[in-house]
Amino acid sequence: VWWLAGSAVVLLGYLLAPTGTVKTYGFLVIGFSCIAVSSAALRRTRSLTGPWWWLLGGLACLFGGDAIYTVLSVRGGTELPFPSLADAVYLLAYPVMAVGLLRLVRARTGGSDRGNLVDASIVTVSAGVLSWVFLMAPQAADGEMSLPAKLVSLAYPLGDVLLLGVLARLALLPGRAHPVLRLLAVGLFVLVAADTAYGVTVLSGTYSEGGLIDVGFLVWYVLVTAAVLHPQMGELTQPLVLQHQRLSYLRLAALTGASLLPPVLLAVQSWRGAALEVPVVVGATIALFLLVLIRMTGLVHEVDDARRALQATLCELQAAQAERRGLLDRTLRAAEEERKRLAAELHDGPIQRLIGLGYCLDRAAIALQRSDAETAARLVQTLQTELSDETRGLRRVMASLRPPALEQRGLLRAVQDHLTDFAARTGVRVQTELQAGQPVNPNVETALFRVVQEATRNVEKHARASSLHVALIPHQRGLRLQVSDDGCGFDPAARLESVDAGHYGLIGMRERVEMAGGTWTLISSPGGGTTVSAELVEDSR
Amino acid sequence: VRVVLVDDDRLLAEHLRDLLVDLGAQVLSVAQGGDQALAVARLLTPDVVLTDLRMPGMDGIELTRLLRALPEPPEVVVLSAYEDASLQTEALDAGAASYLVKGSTGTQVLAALQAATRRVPC
Repeated sequence: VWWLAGSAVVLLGYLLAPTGTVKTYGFLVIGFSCIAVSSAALRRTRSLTGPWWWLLGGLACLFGGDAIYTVLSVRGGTELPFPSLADAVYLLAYPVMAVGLLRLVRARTGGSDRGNLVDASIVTVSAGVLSWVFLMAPQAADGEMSLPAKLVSLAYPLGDVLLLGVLARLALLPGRAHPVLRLLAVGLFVLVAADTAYGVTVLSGTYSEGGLIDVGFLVWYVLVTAAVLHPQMGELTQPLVLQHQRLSYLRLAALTGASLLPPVLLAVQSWRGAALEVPVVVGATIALFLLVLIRMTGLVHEVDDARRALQATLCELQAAQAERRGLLDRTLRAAEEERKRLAAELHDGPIQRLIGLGYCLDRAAIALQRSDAETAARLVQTLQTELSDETRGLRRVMASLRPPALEQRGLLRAVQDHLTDFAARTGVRVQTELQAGQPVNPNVETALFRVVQEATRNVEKHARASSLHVALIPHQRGLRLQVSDDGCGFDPAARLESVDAGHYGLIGMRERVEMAGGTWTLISSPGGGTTVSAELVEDSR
Repeated sequence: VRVVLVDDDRLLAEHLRDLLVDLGAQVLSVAQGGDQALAVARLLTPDVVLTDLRMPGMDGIELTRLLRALPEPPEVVVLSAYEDASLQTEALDAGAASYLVKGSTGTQVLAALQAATRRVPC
């Protein structure tokens, strides 16, 4: 901001200064200052500077041309011949600056925005036609000019068309314009306008040194330097994340206008009675048609790609939905299975016991009716013992639903209690290796406890094992559980596929562990025992 | 009345046997499952077989059907923890004389056994 404000004052001073030596040298001093400040700033920056050096190289060529022109004019004292060495250096500035700016664009887009490139080309071709008809054709037709003079005078507007193309490329970049790009685009616009005005005024002999046109050239120097000094200058060479770009109505209108320009120009020239540049206009029309065709093909491909992506997303969504339905179905069936198991457990255990106790009570009543106090007392004694056994049985059913130890005394104690009960009930020899690690969240604890419960239930029902080894040890940032038996084993693939036959135990274990964010593995073979492992980490869901 | 008891729950069967004996029934044997009950019934030709419904291996319905198909078929009374009407129908269709829900008193069970022996063969 300070640079722009200071430069504005200096440029105003330049504009108001009297024509003559002060203005001539003032122009050179301002140009040189800008290049010096920019070079110093570029040397200090750590971001990619290649494109910027090209741009400064272009500025240096402009300055060099001015310097040579001034030195030669002062030494010669008369008007310089045309073309001179100064023209060669001036003309070099156009391609060098264009390379710098296009490399900036490439660093930003990674060269992957073909649509914008085509749009910029359409604008450039149209501008080229305009430039040819109004600036170049009159000079080409000038019979008094020598061939070198003619070529050089054509090269200037051609250079402007080139820069205009670069400007279109900058202006049509995807996304919101970067502030540094905006500075460069405004500067470039002013430069092209000043250069075109210079060409027109020189042609018509109305150019006067030190006026607004020269200020326009200096504005370019100032804005390039402002861009180099801008705090966000480094961002410009970082690749942009390209998103899908909508073809705005404004752009569509501009592109339509640009594409229709050659035939409209032909009509206007014909109406004015001016020379018709038929080959150029036809050539440009063909070029524009091809560019529009390329753009259209690109759009069609974009639509195709979008449709394919949409189709893929739809497929993924459908698969996810099917998976969700499957999971829900299995969850419901597992819940139903669990209820069935609980009902059977209640039927085979507590209900039979209570009925038996009822018969015992019946017998005690009969004994009392028969005044057989001794038998009645013995029966009441039996009743007390069996009632107390039954209370334990009911407690076991309750514990299988939700072990109180899990909440009150933690996972290790709950597992220990469960295994002690399991060993006493089944006679299977149980070895344990239980180590406390970091506290884990309740979901993880429940999941691991259920795995122990289900694995021991399988051992009890199917394995015919004589010993069981259970390890629960800290593993990385969580816990690792391993339950191994020396039982008859089975073919895991066949068993895991038999979910439809009602074998939810293994599937249920796996899903419970996976839903808690862990991994579950099963190793078993007929005759080779079974090992179930689960690993869960602390931050599992 | 000469009875054979069939129940896979040993403790319950023992309590029931003692109760029926106290009430004056003659309990010939207590079988733990269907196969054992069939063998005992062939051997001892009881008046009535009192059987549980849900047992490992052969269930009470199947046992009833096989018992009723014996040359000298005993009467069958089913004693189950289930109250489902469909199970009752199934048991009666298989040839059971009656269906009792576990929890009936000893007197009710004895009455059912006696009633079964009085049943007119169809």
